Amino acid sequence: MKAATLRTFTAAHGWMGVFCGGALFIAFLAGALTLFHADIQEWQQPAHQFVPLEAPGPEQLAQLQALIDDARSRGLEFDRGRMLVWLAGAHGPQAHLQWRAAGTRTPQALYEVAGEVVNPEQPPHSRMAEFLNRLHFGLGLPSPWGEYLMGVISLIYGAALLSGLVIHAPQLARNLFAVRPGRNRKRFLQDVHNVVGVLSFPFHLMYAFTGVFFTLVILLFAGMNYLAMDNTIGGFLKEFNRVVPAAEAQQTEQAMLPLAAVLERAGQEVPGLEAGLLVWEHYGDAAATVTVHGYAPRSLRPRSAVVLHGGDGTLLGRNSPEEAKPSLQVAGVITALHLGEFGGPAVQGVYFGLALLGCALFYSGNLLWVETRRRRSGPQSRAVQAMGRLTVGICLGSVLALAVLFLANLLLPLQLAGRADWEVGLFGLTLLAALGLVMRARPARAAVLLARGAGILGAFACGLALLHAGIAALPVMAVIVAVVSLAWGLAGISRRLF
Amino acid sequence: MRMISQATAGIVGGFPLALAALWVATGIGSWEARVTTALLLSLPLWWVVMLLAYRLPAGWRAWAGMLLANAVAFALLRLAHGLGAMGAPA
Repeated sequence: MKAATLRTFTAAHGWMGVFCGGALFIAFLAGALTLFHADIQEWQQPAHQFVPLEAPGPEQLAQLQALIDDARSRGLEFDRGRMLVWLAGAHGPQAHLQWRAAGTRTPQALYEVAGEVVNPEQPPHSRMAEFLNRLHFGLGLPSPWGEYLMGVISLIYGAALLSGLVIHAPQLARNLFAVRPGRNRKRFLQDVHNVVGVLSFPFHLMYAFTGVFFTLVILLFAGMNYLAMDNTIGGFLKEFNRVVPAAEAQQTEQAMLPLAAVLERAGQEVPGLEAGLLVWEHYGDAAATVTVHGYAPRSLRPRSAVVLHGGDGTLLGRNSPEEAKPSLQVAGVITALHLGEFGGPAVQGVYFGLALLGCALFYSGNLLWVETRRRRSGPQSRAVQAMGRLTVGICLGSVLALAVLFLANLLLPLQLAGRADWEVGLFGLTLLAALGLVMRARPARAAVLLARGAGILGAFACGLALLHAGIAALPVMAVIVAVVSLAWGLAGISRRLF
Repeated sequence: MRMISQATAGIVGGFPLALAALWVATGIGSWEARVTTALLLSLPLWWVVMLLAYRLPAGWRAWAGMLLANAVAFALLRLAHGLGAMGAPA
């Protein structure tokens, strides 16, 4: 390869990495936590609501059926008769009924806690798991702009990965395991960055690809629709994610199948289906349909759905590993790959480890950029200083902010008005405070302080959760310990470099 | 600035070129299968264009190259649609 080409791609790789590093760090950190979405949902319940995750049994189904009947008898208004019935399990620990009133955009939910129906107007006391999801997909920014921004960042991330491969390809085999600790700190950091980057390259390429697909697919479709297809594919877009086309209501009353019968019919169509969500449309109408969403066991594309007639249980459509339309097949594979939905806890653990290694990759890449320029243009260069400070502030600040989020979830009083917003607000304030700290203190000192702070608050949160919930909180505690350990490791690297 | 300018040129230029992958994908299965395949093909192509943008001379020539790529891509897409080569949604 020509020296000029190598130089160009090295510069491009560095600039693209520096531009996206902070955002990717936050997305990977939040993504690693999102792998434990159900466990975090369980954590965010107040102590008296802690319920162990278990398959929906007759008692839970009877409870949900009673909630549906209660909602109907109270004349609650459903948007187009659409009603979501969430079973306790992978989606969360609390079985509940969810709907959106006609003409509104805010979903409402109906729970039963200790035999008492919770006021559907009451806002949730915590949205921590949902916030982590938003942080992962759109950096917590308003939707859909956050997702679009993350899409562009994923796009640049993919190009940075490919340019990294071009740079390292000539010496790939020779330098793959060459980690040289010693006095040359930059060389050591470069070796670690290269080894982590090359070994986890397929994982990162998959994330760049699926990330762009998730966030920018709508823009690709819109581009095709308006610029080349004369606005003729709008109908296709509406049906992209549906198993069968939407039906119109017949305005004729019909008795609906009970939930237990619906689940039994779905199990006949996709054997072993682990149902998590039932979506009713036109409930109580002769045209009612119910879509049972769940996971097929032992499949690389486990997300499945069975569409039945709501009154007589006739099969209307199926999305299973063996049978699905092309859009659902592609979306199913991409979703399973991105969310690590196959292979059980082992794959979940591997994804979690690789995601944290990814955070280390972005952090070390940014530090390398800083170190290279510091040697070239001197330690007093403003751009070099600012980049070093921003890297420490955003990356380690977000770990500290996460520790504050978990602790706030346990400490804020349940009666506090807007409690869920307070949690998110405290996350944002902590991140801003961390940025303020790195602007005033030396980056190496700030890095150690932020990591220590995250460690202390994380340990406090783990201790409190253990008192509240016992061993039910162990999975999330393990996640917190791993994330805080990462912050300590990164602070150690920063201390050696700055 | 030069790097940022070229990255932006690559992103902007790669978008319609990625869409042009739809044209490449015509003839595979149903209309829905063709659109989905096109989307899958378009992303790697987009990255290649982004990397190629760095090989272009900096400044206005990079942008001119990308705009030319845009024009060619759109012309291909519209031509394919006009000739009915893309088929139509069911």
